[in-house]
Amino acid sequence: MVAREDAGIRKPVALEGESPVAAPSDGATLGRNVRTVRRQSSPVIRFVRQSPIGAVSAFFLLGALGVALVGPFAGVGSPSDISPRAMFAPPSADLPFGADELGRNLLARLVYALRISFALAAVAALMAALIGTFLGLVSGFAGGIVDEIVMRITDMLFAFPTLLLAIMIAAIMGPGISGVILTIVIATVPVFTRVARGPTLSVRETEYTIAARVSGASSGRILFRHVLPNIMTPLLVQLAFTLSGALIAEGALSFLGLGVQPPTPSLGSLLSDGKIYMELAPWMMLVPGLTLAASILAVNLLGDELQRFRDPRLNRK
Amino acid sequence: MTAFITILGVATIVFVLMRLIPGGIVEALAGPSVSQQPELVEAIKEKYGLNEPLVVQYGIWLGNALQGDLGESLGTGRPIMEEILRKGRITVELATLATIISIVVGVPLGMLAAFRANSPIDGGVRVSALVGLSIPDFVLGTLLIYFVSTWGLGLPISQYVSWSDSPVGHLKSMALPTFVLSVSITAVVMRVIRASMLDVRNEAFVVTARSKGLQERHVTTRHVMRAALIPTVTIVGINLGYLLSGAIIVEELFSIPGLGRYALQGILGRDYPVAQATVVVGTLMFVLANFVTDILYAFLDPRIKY
Repeated sequence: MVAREDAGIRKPVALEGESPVAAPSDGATLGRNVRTVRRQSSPVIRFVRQSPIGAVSAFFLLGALGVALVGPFAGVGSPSDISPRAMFAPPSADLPFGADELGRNLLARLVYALRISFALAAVAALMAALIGTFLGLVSGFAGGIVDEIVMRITDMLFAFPTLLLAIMIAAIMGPGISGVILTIVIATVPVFTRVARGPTLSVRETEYTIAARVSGASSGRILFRHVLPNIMTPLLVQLAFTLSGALIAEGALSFLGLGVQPPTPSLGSLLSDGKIYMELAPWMMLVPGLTLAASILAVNLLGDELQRFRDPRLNRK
Repeated sequence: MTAFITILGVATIVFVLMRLIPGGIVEALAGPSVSQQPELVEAIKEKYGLNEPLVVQYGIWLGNALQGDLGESLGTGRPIMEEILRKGRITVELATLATIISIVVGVPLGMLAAFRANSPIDGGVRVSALVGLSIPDFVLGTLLIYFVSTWGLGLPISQYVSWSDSPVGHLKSMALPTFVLSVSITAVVMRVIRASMLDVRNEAFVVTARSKGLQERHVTTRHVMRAALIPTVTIVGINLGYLLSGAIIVEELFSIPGLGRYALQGILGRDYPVAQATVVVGTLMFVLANFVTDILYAFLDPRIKY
C-alpha cells in the first residue's frame, strides 16, 4: 500500500530525471542517458553510470563502513592494549599506521574510532532529521500561531553561535558521547525544520493535496502520505550534509576536549591526541585527520551527486 | 523587531544555560577546598550578586546590558566591554581578511565554472570546492601547523603578534589562521555564484536583453552577473556573521586572542558575565550582518522593496 502510493507520487519527478533535455549537452552523456531511459535500468545502475564520482564516494563510504563493522572481528588487534616497547613506533608491517604514546596499535584504534564516529554521527543526524522534519511539517501545515512559535525558536537557534551553543551543552552534560549527540541534534533540528517547512507550505496548496482533503483524508494522512514523499529529495540531501556536519561537530568537540573522552577512540579524539605529539609521531595526527577529511568529503560528494541526479535542473545549460 | 526578539531570546537562553553548567564560578575562584570555607563562599557570592534570586540577577544583567554595561569578568575583574572591543577588533580583522579572500578567489572561479558548465574546468572547480568544504578547520589547521613547522616556512605558529608591536610580524601571525578560515567560505562562494549564474542565464530578462540585440558581453556583465551577485551577497553576509562568532577553533588552534577564544574561556571557566556577553555580541553581529545584507539586497535588486 505504502509502496504503491509512494511510487505514484514520485513518478513525475523520476520521469523528469530521465528526460534527455535534462542531460548535459555533452554528446556521450546524452546518448548514454537516452539509452538508459529505454532500458529502464535500476536507479543504482543509472546513478553509477551518470556519476562516477558519486559511485567512488559511495564505494569509499561503504568500505569505511565495512571496516568499522567487520574490522574488530578481523583481527586488527586491541585498541587499548598498551605496549611500552612500541611507544611512538612508526608505521611498519606489524603496525600499518604505527603506534601512539602508549604503544597502542593505531590501526585498531582507527577501526574503533570509525565505529564510534560513524555511529554517533548517524544517530545524531537521524534524530535531528526526524524531529526537525516533524516540526517543519507540522509548522508549515498548521500555520498560524504554531508556525509563528516554531519559526521564532528556529530563528533563535540559527542566530545562536552554533559552536558556542555546542560548547555550553557539552559543559552542562559533561563531556561524553550522549552530550555530543544531543548537541548535534539541537544544533541541526532547525535546519531540517526550515528545509521541511518551505516545501510543505507550497505542497499544502497543490491540487492533489486539496483533492485528498476533499475526499476526506485526515491531516496526518495528508502530511505523511502526500506532503512528506514530495519533500523527500531536499530532506535526503540535507541528511547527507548533516551526516558530514555531525562528523565535523564530533571532531570539533572532541578536539576541544568536550567530546568523546579518552581512552575511547573517535576520529576527533585521536586527532586531538595526535596534535600533541605532532613532531614526535606525525602519523598519530595524519591518520585520523586524513581519514576524517576523506570521510566527510565522500559524504559531501555523494550528497552533491545525489542532488544533481535527483534534480537534473541543476545540470541544465 | 523580530531581530530584537531573537537577540533577547538568545540572551535568555545563554543566561539559563550558563547557570545549568555544573560547578560554579565560586569553585573556580576559590579552589577545590571551598567547602571548608563557608565565609569565603559567602563573600564571593555577595560580591558578585550571586545571592540574589536568578530572576533578579537576570533583570539586573539585562538592564545593565541594554545600557551598554556588560559588567566585569568574574575571573579577571576587567570590564567586559573593553575586552570585547579589544579582542573583537582581532576577530573582525580575521573575519574581514578571510571574507576578502573568499570574494577575490571564489567569485572569479565560480563564474569561470558557470561559463564552462559541465566542462572539466567546471568539474575541477566543483570538486575542489567540495574538498574545501569538507576539510574541517581543525584538521586543516593541524595539518598546516605540521607542514609549516617541519618545512620551516618562516611563519610563526601559535604566536600572536599585535600590529603595534610589528606590522610585518602581525600579518605573518595572521596568515595561517586567515587562510584556514577562508578555505571553507571560499568554497561556499564558488558554489553559490556558479549555481546562481546558471539559474539566471535563462531567465526572461536575460532572454529579453539578448533578443533586443545587446552584445553577449553586455548581457553577461550587466544582466547575468548583476543578478547572480544577489545570492552571493547573501552568502557573503551569512559567512561574515558566521565567521565573527565561529572563529573559535581557529583562534584556539593558533592562540589568537580574539573574541571566540574569550567566549570559550568564559564558558569553560564558568565566567557567567563573559560567556553571556560574548554570546550576545556574537549573535548581535550575526543579526547585524544579515540586516546589512538585506539592505544591500534591495540596493542590488530593484524588484525588492522594503
